[in-house]
Amino acid sequence: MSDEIQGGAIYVPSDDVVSREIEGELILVPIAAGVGDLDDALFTLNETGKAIWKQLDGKRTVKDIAEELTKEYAADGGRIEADVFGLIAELVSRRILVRK
Amino acid sequence: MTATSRPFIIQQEGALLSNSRLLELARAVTERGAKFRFYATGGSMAPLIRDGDILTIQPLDGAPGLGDVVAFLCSGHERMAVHRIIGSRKDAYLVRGDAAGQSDGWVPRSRLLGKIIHIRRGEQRIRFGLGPERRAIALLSRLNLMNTFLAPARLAVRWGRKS
Repeated sequence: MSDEIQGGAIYVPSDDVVSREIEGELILVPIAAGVGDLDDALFTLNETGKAIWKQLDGKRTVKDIAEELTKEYAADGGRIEADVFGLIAELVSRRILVRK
Repeated sequence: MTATSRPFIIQQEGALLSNSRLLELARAVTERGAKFRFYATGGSMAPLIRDGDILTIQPLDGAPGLGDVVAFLCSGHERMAVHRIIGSRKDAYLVRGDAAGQSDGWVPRSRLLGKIIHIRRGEQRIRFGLGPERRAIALLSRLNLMNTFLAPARLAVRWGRKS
């Protein structure tokens, strides 16, 4: 199976991740073998990452998310698309996101 | 979000979390039914639990018992504490740190996050205080005899450090 992120695919948070927005930051805690382990790893998304994460509603494709954020932030579409693809690829590689 | 900001993920140390963040994450994970592992801070449960120990909380399955060490939401504070059950009544538990001067009062079950099932100190697993002896410890604590019981142990540790 290819690891490349498909623009027409939908990605959703893995069942093995807990996410919480705390004090303005989005914190992700992977749950491995039934344990959320702060000794192992936890992740924080920055503002851009948080904006992308909030678009992962199980209905929007990667391209939809990029288009939505380009409109919302009135920014360079090419750059935003690259950021969206890049972050989703990284989250998939860490098994925080899975393809629906 | 500006076009120049790059999204990235920060991998951070669990040991550096603030109390409020720790509490929120503990709630989020245990509500999912998963165990939660984190670094202990403070000395209210010394000598069983020390600063820097790694504790594992298991969500409650049934009522906790006398002597169980539980994680709970402190009254009036947005933080979590880990202390021992030294008494119980219908849906509330009398809780106290082994090294604390007084109890935390009666904590309703709704404020309990889970039970401590594992303590790790470096590579070592700490078992004393979580086994059958936990009930005796709870009784000593309830009778305000923990200081009497722990004083010789603390002296020994202090002498050991000086020599």
